[in-house]
Amino acid sequence: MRVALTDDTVLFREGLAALLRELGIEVTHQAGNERELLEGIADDPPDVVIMDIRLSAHGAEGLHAAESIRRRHPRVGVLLLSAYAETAYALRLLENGAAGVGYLVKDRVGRVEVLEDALRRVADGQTAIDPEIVQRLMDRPSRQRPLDLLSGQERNVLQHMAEGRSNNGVAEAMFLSQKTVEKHILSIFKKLGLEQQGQDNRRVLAVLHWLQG
Amino acid sequence: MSPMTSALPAQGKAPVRAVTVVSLIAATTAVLSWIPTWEAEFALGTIYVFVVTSFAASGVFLLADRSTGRTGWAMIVAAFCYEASWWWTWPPEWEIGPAPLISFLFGYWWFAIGGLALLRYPEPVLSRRYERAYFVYFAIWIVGVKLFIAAVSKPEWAGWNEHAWWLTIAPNRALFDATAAVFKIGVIVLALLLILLLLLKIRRSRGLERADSLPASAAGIAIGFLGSFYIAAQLFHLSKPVTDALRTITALTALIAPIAFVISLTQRRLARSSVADLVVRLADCTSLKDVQSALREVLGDPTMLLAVPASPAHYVTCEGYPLTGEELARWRVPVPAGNGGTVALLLVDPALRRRADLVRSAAVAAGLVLENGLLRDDLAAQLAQVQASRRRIAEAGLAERRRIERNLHDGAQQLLLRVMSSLSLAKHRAQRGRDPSDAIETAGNDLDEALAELRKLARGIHPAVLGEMGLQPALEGVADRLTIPVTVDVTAGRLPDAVEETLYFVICEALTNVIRHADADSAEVRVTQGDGTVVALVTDDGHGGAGFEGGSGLAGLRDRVETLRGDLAIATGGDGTTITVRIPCG
Repeated sequence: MRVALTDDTVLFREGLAALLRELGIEVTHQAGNERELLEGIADDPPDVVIMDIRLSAHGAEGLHAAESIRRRHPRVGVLLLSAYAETAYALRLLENGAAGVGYLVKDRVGRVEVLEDALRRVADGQTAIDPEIVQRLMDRPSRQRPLDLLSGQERNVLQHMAEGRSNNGVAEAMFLSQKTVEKHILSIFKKLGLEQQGQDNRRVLAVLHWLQG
Repeated sequence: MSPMTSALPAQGKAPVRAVTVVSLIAATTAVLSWIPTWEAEFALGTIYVFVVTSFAASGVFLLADRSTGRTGWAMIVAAFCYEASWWWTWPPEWEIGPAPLISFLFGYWWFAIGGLALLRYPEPVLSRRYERAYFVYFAIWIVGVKLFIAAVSKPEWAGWNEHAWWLTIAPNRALFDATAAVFKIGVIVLALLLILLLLLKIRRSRGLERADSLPASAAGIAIGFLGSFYIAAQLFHLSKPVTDALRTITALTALIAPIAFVISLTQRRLARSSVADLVVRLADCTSLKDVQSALREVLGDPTMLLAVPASPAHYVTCEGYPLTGEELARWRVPVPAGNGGTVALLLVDPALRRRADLVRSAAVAAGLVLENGLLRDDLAAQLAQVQASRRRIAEAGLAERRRIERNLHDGAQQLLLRVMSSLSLAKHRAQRGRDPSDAIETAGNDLDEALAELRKLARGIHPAVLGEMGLQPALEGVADRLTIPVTVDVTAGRLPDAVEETLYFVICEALTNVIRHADADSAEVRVTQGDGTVVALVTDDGHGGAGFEGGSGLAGLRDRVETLRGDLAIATGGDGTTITVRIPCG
């Protein structure tokens, strides 16, 4: 896999680049801001761009940068990293199309398997949402708790779905057959009163919105 | 005329000598220039002498006041131009030498210069670019076109003695007739434009400024209107009685200009005497706010602020609020104390600098009453309150820093130390050929936790999402992390940073109070905006009992809200508590 890195702090960028190389991932470009990145990848687009959501002392320029990358290079995946696990950022990112985008908390660089999994999904045109955000939304107290109606296994399926996994991905992650997963998902949508979404990518946004209440 | 200016008394007393001298010169020359016409046109002659004399006299009056001096000069020049404009009434034997040409070229100048004086009054200059452009065109028209007409005509065509000096270069009767008509149409257009400019000026002026300029503007409108009628009558060759009547009426209308100036000057003197009334009114004031409204009324400045010192160098409004940068940029007039110090400041609209004498007198009057016992007590009470609130804010800031230090020390720092010892252990094991992965695993877990701690702390200090996306997502993020369901509904749009940050902080603290003390099952946050105020409500269904006393921290929150001139109210009972925060904005 070929990856370009954008982060305004060189220290973190270099560390991440070393880690990725160690994992056998080729780092094609490193940039400090959106302009540098867009110039760098213009002629040689990578599979995925990993980018800090915050590219200066203030603001979430990464969200804007993600849009321009997706517009110019629709086949390049964008994985945003953030120091904060903000639901609002994740939702904003997904609203412009969930295919091939991801949002992870920076700490995940300490969990190589999570990072690799997210990169692979984003490169495949799927979605990757940080487990912490999904977990927090699932634990969120609410007046009515339709979530209580779900069985333990259904809750796990819902969590994986909200993180952006396809039916296939959920099946792999939970060591279940795809048929079983489909059955669970049907039951979950029914219990939560959610409309069945054909496309996996749109399903993520719908589930997250539902969880947020 | 310069010896006359030096003869003017410096203060506002009527410059009797100068007025007498200039008026006499004007009157005498006017009476003399009418000699051949007195018998035929006695009434018109009387009006004419009156106009010339009163123009000159009002000009000298205006010269006495420094701020209206230039208007004074304009009126004196206009007086003599007006005189020249009537020389056409002379018999042929007088119309010799340069006089006819002077009258022909400068006859309309009284109208232009008088209009200029009326339009800019009481300012010494024209305030708008289009007004200046207007007078440039006016001057070009009445000089340029007249010169052209003189060049293509002979004096007798314009009704003068054929032996008068003239500019004749290429006389052409048809061209002369056409240009003369075009000239008159141009003057009518210019007169109507002057009316428009005066109406615009009335529309944009306010308060004292309007009272000052209204008589002059009204006079200008009347003169412009009747003057254009008169010229139109000439243009269409209306019957002689009609033209004569219009001429007399126009001459009479010109008298309005000096009358308007006299009215305006008298008004200014009256305003000065209203400071005397102010002293009487102020004697009844029992609070600083009363004093402020009395001053606002007398100065005609509804936004004027009475600022009082919270500390020697730091002023606040008379209600104890901090001053905004915009307010501090106004004209600051010290209110003098009996001992020579400054007891307060007036922050006044800079437009009132023109009336510096009035403002200073009002400040002195205010100083007298502020020293009186009752108001001194009010002042002292206000200041004590302001100082207490400043102290609480400072203490809250200090407590907040201590809390952050303690959190860092107890949380992230301890975890990082443990990471360090785990890594030492791992290194030690690796050096001895033993498996270090257990220790590295522990270090990784501790680091995860340390990062989570730091994130929580940073978000508590200032959530990045607030500045980028506003209150709704930032508060949703807070609600996500609480142990009871909290509904967040922000219908207000984006607000100034300071307002958003204060609301966020106050709402977070209020929610923390709900979790800690209220034993509530759920809470609700609403932020709405309307009538220049943003209102935030934090409602819970707990057991109530919240108040400003004790350790609830609500007094500190109120202080923070008050720094933005807002207020915080608590309504509490057995079925829950509602905290209401109102902050003015926009």
